[in-house]
Amino acid sequence: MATTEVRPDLTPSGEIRVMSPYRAKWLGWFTTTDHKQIAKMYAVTAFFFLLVGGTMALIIRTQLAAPEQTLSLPGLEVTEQVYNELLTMHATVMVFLFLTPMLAAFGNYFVPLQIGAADMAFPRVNAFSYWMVPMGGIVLFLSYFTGGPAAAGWTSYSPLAGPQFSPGNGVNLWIGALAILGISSTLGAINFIVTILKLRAPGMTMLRMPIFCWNMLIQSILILFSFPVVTAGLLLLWIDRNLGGAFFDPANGGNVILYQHIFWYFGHPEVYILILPLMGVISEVIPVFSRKPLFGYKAFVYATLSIAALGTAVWAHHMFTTGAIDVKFFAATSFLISIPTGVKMFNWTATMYKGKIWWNSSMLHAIGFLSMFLIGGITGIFNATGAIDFAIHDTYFVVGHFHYVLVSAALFAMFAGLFYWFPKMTGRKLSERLGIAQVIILFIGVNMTFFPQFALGLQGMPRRIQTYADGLGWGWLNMLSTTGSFLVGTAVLLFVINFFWSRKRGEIVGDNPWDAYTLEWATTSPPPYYNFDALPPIRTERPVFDTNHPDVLAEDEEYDRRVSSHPL
Amino acid sequence: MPRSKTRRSPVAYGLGILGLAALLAGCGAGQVEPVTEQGNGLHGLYLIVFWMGFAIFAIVEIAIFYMAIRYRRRKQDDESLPPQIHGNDKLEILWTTIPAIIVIVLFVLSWIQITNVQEVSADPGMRVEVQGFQWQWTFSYPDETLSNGEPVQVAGVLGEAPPTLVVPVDTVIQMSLKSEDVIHSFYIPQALYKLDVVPGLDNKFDITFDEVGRFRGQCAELCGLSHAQMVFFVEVVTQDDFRAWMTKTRTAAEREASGGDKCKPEGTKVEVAAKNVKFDKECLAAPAGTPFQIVFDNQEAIDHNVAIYQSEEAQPAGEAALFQGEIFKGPKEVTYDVDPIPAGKYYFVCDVHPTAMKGTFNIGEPEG
Repeated sequence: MATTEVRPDLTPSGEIRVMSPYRAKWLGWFTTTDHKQIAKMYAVTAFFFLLVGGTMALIIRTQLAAPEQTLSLPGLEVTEQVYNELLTMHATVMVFLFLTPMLAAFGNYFVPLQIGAADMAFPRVNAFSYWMVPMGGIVLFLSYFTGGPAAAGWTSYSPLAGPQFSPGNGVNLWIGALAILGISSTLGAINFIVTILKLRAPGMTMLRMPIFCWNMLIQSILILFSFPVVTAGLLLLWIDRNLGGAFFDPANGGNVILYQHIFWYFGHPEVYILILPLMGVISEVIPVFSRKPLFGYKAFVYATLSIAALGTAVWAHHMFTTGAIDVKFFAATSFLISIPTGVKMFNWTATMYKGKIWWNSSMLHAIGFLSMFLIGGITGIFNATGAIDFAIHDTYFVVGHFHYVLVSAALFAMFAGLFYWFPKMTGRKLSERLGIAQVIILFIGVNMTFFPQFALGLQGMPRRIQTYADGLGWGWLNMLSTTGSFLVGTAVLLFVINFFWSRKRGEIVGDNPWDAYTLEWATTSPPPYYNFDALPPIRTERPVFDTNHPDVLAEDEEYDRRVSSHPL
Repeated sequence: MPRSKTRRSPVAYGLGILGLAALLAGCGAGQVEPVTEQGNGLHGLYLIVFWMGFAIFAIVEIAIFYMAIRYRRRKQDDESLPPQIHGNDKLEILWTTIPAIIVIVLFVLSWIQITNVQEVSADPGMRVEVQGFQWQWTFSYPDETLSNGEPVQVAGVLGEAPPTLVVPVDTVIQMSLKSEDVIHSFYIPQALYKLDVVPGLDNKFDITFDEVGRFRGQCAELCGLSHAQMVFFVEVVTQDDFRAWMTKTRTAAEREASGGDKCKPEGTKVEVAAKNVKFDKECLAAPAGTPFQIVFDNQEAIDHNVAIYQSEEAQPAGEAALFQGEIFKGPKEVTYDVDPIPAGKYYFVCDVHPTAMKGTFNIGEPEG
């Protein structure tokens, strides 16, 4: 193994350094261009916003727990106005300030390590990308001090978000925040693409690259396609609001459907932007803990490429009920996208076949992801038909569907990744006992929260309503959902406790505690500032494993030859 | 987890799923009962997709948990590696093709239903114009006009009981959706259908209720502050009941249009105010054959007055007024003394703004 006696990552007394040794600690946080340091800052920022957005979610759920109520909390009465603000801010925070930066954190830390690079291609751009995230957050939350935040939903459909129906500063600051965060993501995407294409270590061909890196690459391409479009669209909305434009003002010849096209041309790929890297995480975790290579490496690459390609052609399935689009065309493309998604599900499941599955927190979270993503995927079929969507569009069925993907599945995948990589980042393991408790509570919690929402939607409860009449039979399902949401909150808090406890007192483990496959496990835990002293030979998709298990090297090389020699 | 428990899990899981299936089958797989012809077709498709989805869910979910439990590492296991399987091309082809066939079938079935619900008849049995506004609905019947040319309307008022749209059963009703402010969505859960009400678009759909009853509807697109209050009802009645209801509503509307109950003389003092180049009342009334007073409160710094004319056309035609009040700038209140006028229906206007400021003036008890 490539370790050395010189440990610049240790202090003279032998403690693990969190920081590059070359800078003062407090200054380092502001000046660092180290991808690992930036990744941690991304992760902490994202987790902070998860707690903020999660608190908003709990307020929303509590407001809806019983019919015909207006919740009164100390200092906060959830009136119609406050409710609309909460649903707007909750979604914006979760999408742009939690999930997106969290994925940037995973990518930043592990893409350079997995391809054997010393850092990202543009370290300063990387730091700039990060610093725009808290700036975006500040701009967004400034609206609370300038007359109230945006309340037109995270989609900010015009004319509701236009100057006439949303006067005040909320939507302006919302546009500003999204523009900042969009530019941050776009710069990050360019950085990932260049890093992956240009900085791979000798021997690391594209088809030996870990699937996580493939997913980051394809995610970044999707970002390049979609974020500039929405940023431009939001600029038009800003002109409508502030300079008397009429792009989306029907009274003056504007077109409100145009805004929806622009928004969803970004909005749907955004869903894949949020889930692809997490699929990558799962594709790392499941093989390692099944003690087997990933089943159908090439199928994953092709499936991811197809999802990205089709993902740019399904946007108007969010607009089936506008009466202004070709429902059949977008039903067709939406159906098609389920095929590569299914291929991934089957391959993950097949990876576990005949394995020796290590039941630890990371793997259990990954199994939770498979189980939850399946529900999210299958309920998506109902929407994809177009015809059934006429009934369930904009109801709680849709809320349940996308929360199964973006909360249930995404949280499980994120935690799978955090439990898997925490030892690499700190040299210590997260507590298994707390981890198992967390996975159980999370599993019960998400299902209790989001499954009743399918029933609510099928019975006709629209989304984004502050309250509902008594006697509709929606009360007990909402109460169930609210109860579940507090379990989800508990699971997240358990992780926070686990993190702070394990950071100081977690079991110290070696450089490669999972006997894992990819290059990040070839260096120390945590890795030194410059990442690698030396790299193992890269002859297959799992170089570290082959170095440690010479007996499977021949087999892996044989597969590698087949993969590289044949396009399919 | 203890082994004895986990070994039974796949079976328990399977039984649980079957139990859930039985439960769901008992209540239309969770979806509300459709009450329209179009909805029946959509519900049929829903059931097909539900059971197909359920089968896939059960198979894959059982496979995931079976693999995870069956192939877990046991305590007595040695450190040797399991077979290092990299993949299987035949399986890849299989699990690409089978889902592809399934989605093609589902797409064809969806195509049929989409075509069915999107069909808009050139000659519907009845037309209804739905006007969505922040935050209520107004329904008008363009085929049922009053004597003044206006259609019969059921108007929603924010903060009051939700409006009820009354329609006959077994009739093709064409809903035409209009909005002047933001986007709303006209959603009747038991029709299994919704269509957005988009400013600048003229969205139409046909709907045929096949049972009588009272069904709830609600706006389904976030439209601002009181979005949650945009509730309405659809009352589906028999043809005879519909005609009876329409006659009653029309009579009431005619009375309303001609001044109606709200505009009867109450004493010899008539109050009216002007603001934003508008009178605050559309109709005034005074007793016949006796002098009365008009208390005119001009609330803005613009010239206004009150004048009474024989007919709506009299003022623009330059005919003499029955009474002409002094023109003055507000804010100021002036009381006009008016000589007796014989019973009848007259018009009052502001001579300075005759097109914007006008209304009906009933003297005595007008007929009808």
